[in-house]
Amino acid sequence: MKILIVDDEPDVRTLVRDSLQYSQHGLEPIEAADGETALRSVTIDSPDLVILDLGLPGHDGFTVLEQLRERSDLPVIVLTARGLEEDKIRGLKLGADDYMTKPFSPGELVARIETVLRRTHPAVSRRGVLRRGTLRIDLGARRTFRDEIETHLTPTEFNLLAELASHPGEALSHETLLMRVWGPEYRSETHYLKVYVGRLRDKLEADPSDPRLLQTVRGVGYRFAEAD
Amino acid sequence: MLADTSSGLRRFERTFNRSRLIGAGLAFALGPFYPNLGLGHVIALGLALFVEAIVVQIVFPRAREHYERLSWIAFSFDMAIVSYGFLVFSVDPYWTTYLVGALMPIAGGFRFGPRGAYVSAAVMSIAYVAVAQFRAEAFGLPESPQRLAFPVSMFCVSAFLMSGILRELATLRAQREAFVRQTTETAALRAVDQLKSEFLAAMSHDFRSPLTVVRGAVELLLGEKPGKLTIGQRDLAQSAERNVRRLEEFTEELLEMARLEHGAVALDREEVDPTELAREVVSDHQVLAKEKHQWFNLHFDSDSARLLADRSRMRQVMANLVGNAIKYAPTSTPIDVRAERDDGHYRLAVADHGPGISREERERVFDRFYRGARASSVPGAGLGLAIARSLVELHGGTLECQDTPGGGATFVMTVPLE
Repeated sequence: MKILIVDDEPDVRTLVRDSLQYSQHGLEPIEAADGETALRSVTIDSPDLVILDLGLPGHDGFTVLEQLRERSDLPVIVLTARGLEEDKIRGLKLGADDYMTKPFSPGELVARIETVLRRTHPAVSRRGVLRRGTLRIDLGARRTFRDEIETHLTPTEFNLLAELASHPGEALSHETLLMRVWGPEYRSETHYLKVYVGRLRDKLEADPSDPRLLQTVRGVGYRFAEAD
Repeated sequence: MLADTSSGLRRFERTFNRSRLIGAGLAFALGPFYPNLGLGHVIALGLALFVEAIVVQIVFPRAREHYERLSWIAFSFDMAIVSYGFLVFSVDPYWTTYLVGALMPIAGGFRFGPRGAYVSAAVMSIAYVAVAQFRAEAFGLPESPQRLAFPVSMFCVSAFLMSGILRELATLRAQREAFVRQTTETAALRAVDQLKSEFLAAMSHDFRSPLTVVRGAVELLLGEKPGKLTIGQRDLAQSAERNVRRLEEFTEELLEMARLEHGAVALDREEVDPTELAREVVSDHQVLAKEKHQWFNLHFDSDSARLLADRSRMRQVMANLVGNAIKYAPTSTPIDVRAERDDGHYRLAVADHGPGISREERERVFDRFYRGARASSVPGAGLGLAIARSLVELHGGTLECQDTPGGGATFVMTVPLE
């Protein structure tokens, strides 16, 4: 697995590189010191995952992330030294798969890389086709259609939708969803869930401000609409 | 006085110059129609006012200093000319020019304060009485003593009123100046505070990347990734790791405090069951408590409460209280966590059975960077409780320190339900 490390600080790149190599999980590091090189490297080296520092000189990380998302679903873990909630939410909204605040532990970083890779390359897929109104979800093929037109979902978006849609009419708690879709270490990271539910609603609901498919269950979590 | 600066005196002289020109105009236009000592005197009166106006117009804008002395000279001329005016028209049986004298205490007061008002009232009174005496003898137009007393009283009352007005104005001015000074000081303090917060934020930010590298390197070393460590090397690396963590915590707290002071912490409120959250926090701290042979006694209301709160911030506050209880209480003591709701509030009390906190320190423990007597043996920056209190206050609640019955400290968080 090729991992592209984008950070302007050579020492941080070295640390991440060493962490990947020492982990002995077959993670091969590629490095880029700025956004332009990173975007080029995505095309040329086709990495499997990007670790992106948000505080880059020139094109900042958010811009790079935006441009990256325009062309692919490549899993991205963003790194930031600011640790601000708004950065975290903005990063997730722009399509980051995970978020780590500096200083982070090399062990945790490797664990996160593996979780994200596992999440975005699911080994076991579900089967069956689900219909709700004009929406059709093909769980086996991991494809979603609205009015028979395909709606593009990122792997994590699809995982969340599949998790909810597999239990129609049942309220799933924040914790359950976070543990099943993201992993046990994310059980209290409600930001992820909020941002992703928001993104799914934007893509799938007729009126995202009045959601019918992905319903909020106050104080508990979310529920997928029961059969018509 | 109102003309307390050179520019003020110059401004006043400009205003008075207009009055002098009006006076000169009146002398030329109306003087000949009044019975007077003769046309020559009327022209002399008008010219005197006119010439004085010209001189003041030339001298004042050019003068560099001694404005007050110049102003006194001009004012003396004013009084002399007005007195001369009394004299010029003293032949008039319906002599009324002395009325102009009542204006002089006003002009003097504006320029030189109460002193100017009273001096001009005295000069005008003397001039009036002298001219009245003169016209009684020269033209056989005597005034009775009570008639003489009236204008003199009028000059004095006018001076008295003027000094009263000046006193009021001085009070108002002092108040305004105090207000302006206070506003300026507040703005300056705010600017310093802002600068401090920005500095803290920038500093904490710049700390994070180097900290990542140091922490990561130590962790890789301790994981013996680059090679096996000797016992001595391991001890050193462990000590480095412990201290990097302290630095990390301190940096985090500084940044959090800076954000709170900046008002940059926005709550992401949702419905939260605080008792469930407290249980989670206690469970997360079981390992730490066990290390010190401490145990938790939980007293939770069976009714579930619903709080509109920021889950992660609430958890942070609870973790701070529970973490402190573990840190500061002696080994082998219980920690009581009590949660209850009453009249629209949710209350969480974390009580330890340690040495407690003295009455004098009870408020100070919430101050930034304050390290209480009991904290001396425990590492920390003294920001945890300050942050916790700010976060509780953001939720509209309070965080207080009380005694634990039987000895120890109890921290009580109270937040409104919904």
